[in-house]
Amino acid sequence: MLRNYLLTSLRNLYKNKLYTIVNLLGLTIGLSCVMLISLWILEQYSFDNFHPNGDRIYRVLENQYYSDGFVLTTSATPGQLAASLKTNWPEIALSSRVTWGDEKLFKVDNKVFKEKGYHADPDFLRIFNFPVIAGEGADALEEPGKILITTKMAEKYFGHTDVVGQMIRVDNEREVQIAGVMADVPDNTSFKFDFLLPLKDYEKNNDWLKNWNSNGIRTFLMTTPQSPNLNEIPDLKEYLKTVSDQDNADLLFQGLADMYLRYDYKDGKYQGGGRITYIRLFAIIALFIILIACINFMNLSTARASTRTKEVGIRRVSGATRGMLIRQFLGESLLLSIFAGVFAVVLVQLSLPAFNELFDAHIYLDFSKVGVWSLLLGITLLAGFLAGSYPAFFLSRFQPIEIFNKLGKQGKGANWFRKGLVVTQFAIATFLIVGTMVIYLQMNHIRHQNLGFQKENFIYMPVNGTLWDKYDLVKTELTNLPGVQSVSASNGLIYQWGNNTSSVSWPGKDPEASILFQTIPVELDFMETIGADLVDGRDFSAAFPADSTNFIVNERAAEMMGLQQAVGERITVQGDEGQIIGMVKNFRTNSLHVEQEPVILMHRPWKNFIFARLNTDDTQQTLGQIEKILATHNPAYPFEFSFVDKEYEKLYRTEARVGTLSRLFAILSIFISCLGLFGLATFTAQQRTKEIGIRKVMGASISQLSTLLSGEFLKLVIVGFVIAAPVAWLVMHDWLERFVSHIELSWWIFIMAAVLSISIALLTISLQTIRAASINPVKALRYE
Amino acid sequence: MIKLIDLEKSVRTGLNRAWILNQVNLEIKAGEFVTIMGPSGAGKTTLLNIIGMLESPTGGEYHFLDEPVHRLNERKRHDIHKQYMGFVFQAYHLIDDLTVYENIETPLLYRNVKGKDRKSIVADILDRFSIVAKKDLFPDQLSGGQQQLVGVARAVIHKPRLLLADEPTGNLHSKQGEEIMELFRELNEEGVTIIQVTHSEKNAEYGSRIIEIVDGNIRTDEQVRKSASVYGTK
Ligand SMILES: Nc1ncnc2c1ncn2[C@@H]1O[C@H](COP(=O)(O)OP(=O)(O)OP(=O)(O)O)[C@@H](O)[C@H]1O
Ligand SMILES: [Mg+2]
Repeated sequence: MLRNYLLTSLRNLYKNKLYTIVNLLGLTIGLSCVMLISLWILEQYSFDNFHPNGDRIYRVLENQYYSDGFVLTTSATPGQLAASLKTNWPEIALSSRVTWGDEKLFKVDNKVFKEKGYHADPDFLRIFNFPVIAGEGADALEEPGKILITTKMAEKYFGHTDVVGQMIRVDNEREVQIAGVMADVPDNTSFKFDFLLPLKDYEKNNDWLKNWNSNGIRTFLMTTPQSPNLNEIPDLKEYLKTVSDQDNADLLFQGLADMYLRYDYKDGKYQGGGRITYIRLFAIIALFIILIACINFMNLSTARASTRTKEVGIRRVSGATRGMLIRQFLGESLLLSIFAGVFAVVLVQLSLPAFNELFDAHIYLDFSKVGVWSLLLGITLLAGFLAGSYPAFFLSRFQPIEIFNKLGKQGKGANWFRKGLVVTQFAIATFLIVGTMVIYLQMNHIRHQNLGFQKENFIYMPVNGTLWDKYDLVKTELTNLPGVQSVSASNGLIYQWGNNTSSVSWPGKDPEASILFQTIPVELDFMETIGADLVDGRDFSAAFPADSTNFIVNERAAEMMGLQQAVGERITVQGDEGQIIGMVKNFRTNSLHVEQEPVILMHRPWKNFIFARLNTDDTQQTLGQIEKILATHNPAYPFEFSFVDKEYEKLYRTEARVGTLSRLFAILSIFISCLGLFGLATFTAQQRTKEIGIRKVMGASISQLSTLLSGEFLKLVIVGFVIAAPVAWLVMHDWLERFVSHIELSWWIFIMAAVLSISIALLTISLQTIRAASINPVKALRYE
Repeated sequence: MIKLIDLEKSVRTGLNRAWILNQVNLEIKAGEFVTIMGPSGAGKTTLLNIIGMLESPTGGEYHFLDEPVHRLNERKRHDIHKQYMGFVFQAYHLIDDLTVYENIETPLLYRNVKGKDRKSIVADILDRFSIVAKKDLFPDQLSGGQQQLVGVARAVIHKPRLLLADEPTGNLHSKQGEEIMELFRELNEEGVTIIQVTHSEKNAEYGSRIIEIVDGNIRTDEQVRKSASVYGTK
């Protein structure tokens, strides 16, 4: 029996090559997309999930409430918080501070490289599961002078991992002892590091850690097993107010599992977003794509039903029950989906490198895992069932008498169902087209936003080692290069130029007011170098010694202080009084997701980055010359630089990625939809051969017939559009709202999407319809 | 109206060439009612199709109303076909998904007749053929005779000068067949030239001239009686 079914199925697939190819191609593409997306989602969910006590681990967040209604939620906490929480709260078993990620220069013999790592407290290794495979573990982080490195780093510098007790030179200034070797950190962790240094080391150079009012380090906690969720302890929330002067702030505890997926705070509350949004988005897209592929299958199978009714009739007359027939047809679709599944796995394997690159992911198909097999098989079989169920029930429903009586005719119900499916497909496709266009336009909009500074031909170089001591000399030499327009320096860049403070007072300030300003320590020529416009007053100048205490504000700051004529006023910033000597046009100090910040520039020493504005011609040569100059003054460090415009793009990496992927998936889903449409058009044309012949004899021309045939499909595509347009409008409107500056959702986007989907559909069916319309009527009518 | 000179139709069968029609010479004047008879496979349908411009001859000349059809391009032939000809089939060939009314209306749609005119023209013919009551039914709700009635109505709705009918009564009882033949006679009397293919001697009697075809050749060609009305000289 089974053999008989299998044979008929295979023969059927082979006999209807077009049908088989269309279905196989559609299902293969659909399954590959779904497999890729599922693997990616699994990877995303696996982030930070390898810590055995994960449900007891929290990251501390702080909400700061300002008088203008702004609430800053930050993971930057005071340096004293970790220890204090552990001592005073029995619920908290372990606590550790962790820096944001430090780059250090390491040297062993003549091997010199930069590595990324953290400064952390000993509890870091007790809270998190980063196994130490040789030497000391957490204890190594107790006192300065020791370091933990990963196997990878050990191999890199020593060629082997038996390095406990060896010395390694840090930042060209001191030797530390390797106290232990850790296993390499996995890909799916929020902490990516090759070394850990004691936080005490960091404390030596960072006095602010002792200050309860300075937020600048991350705090992680692990509770006792008995402890309730930390957010449910009211006093804990208000703890900061009791130990510090931060009376506008409270604490928030984010579970470890949420750290990677759900970081999206506004007004002090979780807004439901974060990476999880994109997981949801792509889960929906995956569902869409597999649905489209399955719809193809259902459509073509039911359309083809007329050619199979005879088989059904004969089988039923020979005693097959309905159940048997359902099993047969389901088996057929499963067979097809398994073929497609195999192709899809190959396709996934081939596209993984590109996908990983694009997504910055580390997915691979680990065939030694049962989970991977069951995932792939599950997806494949599910698609097979989904695709095969309707045709199976539809085909098996025929009564033999009915079939022999009106061979080749079908119920109107099937027709409606089929039309509904095509409408669904094109609704989805249109939705994706609109989405893709909006994302593309918005990204373009961001790229061409007036930022208030010129991000092109603008490089920055981190200040390494003792470079700062020679800044003036370096600046003179750089400025003398023909390819360099001007040089300056600042504490930070692009989205974090400086520090935030609310300790600012100005004439006429409401005593209750607390507003968060960004303060940016800058060097001379800052304005010219970044390309910002001064609207009033002047820039800092060497000619005015008093400028070392003076300020320049941006328009937004002047507006928030309520100063009509800001230039000339005296203000106090973090205890230092000085005069406002200039007002600069607003320039972007953060991503377009958030409002323009009020900014205060001051001329203070110590900067982290040197900036240079280059002339447009021969950048390569200029860079070479800059490298030479830096190498003379800072020989211990390799030359590092970045173009600001490239870094700026990174701010929107997620959106750009989503844009690329949505484009890809939109194209794929349209392709699959069109495959189905093509198949359907072919069958319809076949079915209507006689009608076309008659109409031709009645005097219809080829163009009239093509219009007739295409028109019916076009109607479906248009209905699909009408359904999709409002949904797309709502969703994309919502998405755009995330940007402070965004494009308008204008009607022409929708018109373009409609034109696009209609022309693609037309193109797809035109070949079939024109061929059908050109048929020789004598042939069409001769053999009835 | 129609003049065929040495008309040929051949098909390739493997390496050989087979003649379906061979050296056919024939002249048909406007207003005639011609019956084509002959054994099965003789080439009757092929001849009718060539006259109706659904097929092209492979040799010889075909003149229709002084136009050398064999030298015209596809488009021109289509125009002549559209303007002057109507077809009736043995298997009716109505469109299953359209109602009687819509089936009859179809030829007018392809001749850009305006909606209002269409309505009155279709209403007239429904009335004339006494099928008004059936106008909203679908073909499979009609008897064979009624279906063929609709087929004829559709064939003449656009007032063709030439009506071509291939075994129009082949699938009908003799009673129903007679009805159709009566209708043909009426149409012929109104001036429509008719060429029908039939196997039935009885139907042949309705015509004015009987042509017998055997093996792709005209065997006999006899005038049975004077045409009902002859106008025009060709
Ligand atoms: N395209 C073709 N290719 C090959 N042979 C053809 C083709 N068209 C027609 N024939 C052959 O030409 C011959 C004449 O066909 P035709 O249909 O004209 O016959 P007929 O006289 O109408 O017969 P019937 O009375 O059975 O309808 C037949 O033998 C047929 O098989
Ligand atoms: Mg015939």
